[in-house]
Amino acid sequence: MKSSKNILKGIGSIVLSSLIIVGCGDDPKDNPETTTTVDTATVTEPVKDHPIQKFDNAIFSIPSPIQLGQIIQKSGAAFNEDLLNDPSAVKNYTDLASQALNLGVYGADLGYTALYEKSQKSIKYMKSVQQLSTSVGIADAFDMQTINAVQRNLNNGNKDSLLYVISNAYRKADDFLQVSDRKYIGSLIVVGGWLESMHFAGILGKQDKSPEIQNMVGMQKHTLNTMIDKMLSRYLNEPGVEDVANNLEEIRVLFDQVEIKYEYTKPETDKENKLTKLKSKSTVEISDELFGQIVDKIEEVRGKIIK
Amino acid sequence: MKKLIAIFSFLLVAGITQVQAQCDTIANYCHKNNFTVDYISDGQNYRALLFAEQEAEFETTFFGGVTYRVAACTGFEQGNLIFRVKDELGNTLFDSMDQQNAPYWDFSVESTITVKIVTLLDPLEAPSGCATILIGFKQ
Repeated sequence: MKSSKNILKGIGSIVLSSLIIVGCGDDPKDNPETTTTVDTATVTEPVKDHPIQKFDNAIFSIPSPIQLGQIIQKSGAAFNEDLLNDPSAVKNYTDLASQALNLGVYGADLGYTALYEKSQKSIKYMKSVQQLSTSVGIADAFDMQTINAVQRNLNNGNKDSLLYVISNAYRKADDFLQVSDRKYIGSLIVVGGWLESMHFAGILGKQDKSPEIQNMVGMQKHTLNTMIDKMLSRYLNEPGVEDVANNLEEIRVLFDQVEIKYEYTKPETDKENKLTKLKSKSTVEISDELFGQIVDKIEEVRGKIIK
Repeated sequence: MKKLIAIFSFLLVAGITQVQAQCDTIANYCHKNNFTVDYISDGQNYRALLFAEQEAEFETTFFGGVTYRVAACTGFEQGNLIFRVKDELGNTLFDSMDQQNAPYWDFSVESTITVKIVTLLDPLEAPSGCATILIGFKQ
């Protein structure tokens, strides 16, 4: 009888632990801090010490390519078609890793053309995005309803709605991948989008010497560390991931020389408008020479990805 | 004994399926209810299954000159999830508990900073749930 009780307690532990591990599409290898070693003779104790867990598959937050594109546009930079990857190069991407990386690249290109209201170019990039999303198995994120919405907003010149639809499609893609057994695909899409945005910012920052853009690039030091240490490090055994991580590591060597200083200022909250003004400040120290080296390295890595 | 094991196995499968389905749909629900067309998603869903007093956290960069919207959901009722925004020194910049567990809040950012978003369940409202945070930025 005692033995039966122990077995039942053990099953209870497995049920609870499994829910913790499997819930929200988590994967034990992805999130070692939430993995519980199950002893079938003991019951998992209730949580008492406010344990911190990291967000499933997203302890990282990588800036959206559309957001970075918006910052570039607001800096006053003109549209530059030469910055974009050729949409017809989509046929060159035959393995899953290059397809995922370039799905991120084309997503950034699509966002860039949409921001500058280049409708015909946006349609070409949308087709490349759709093709690659089918190849990597997330066609549902870019289904006919989404494509039609993009087409309609392009025709109407409704930029705000267009960007909303595109961003939401990428969020849905993230959703699909988080609950699949191919989370690394989502990571590669994110890396591709980030690299393409850094390519835009780098080239324009070099040309214009815009402090806003140089500051934006410098602040990516933290994002890069997150991508390498918390995101890609989970999937190094998956095809193509280690190569990407090694390439990013070469960029990180340069970013390590960027200095960021932070100064706290008390925020102000406007309850009526549900708005808090964050007044703290970070200062980025990056020389022109270092900025140039970072941009050159980004170009080198991007060149390998889009070839 | 075999019957009991079968019952627990069934509960295990049913529980996993239910939680999985819940997590899958909360992000879309959260987006639909808290984001309007003037706020663009950052393209990511931040999710964690929380029990009791567990907390979940992640770091993000808020760029200067941008207004962000952070939405927090668990389940299909608004206001069960508490979220806090902290700076890199650990100073609390915002706490949704001070705003009656507001399901979303906007942040206008003067200078680019790195922040940590921490979330936990309201113990009075939900003993467990799939915590979902979404971030959008104003066009």
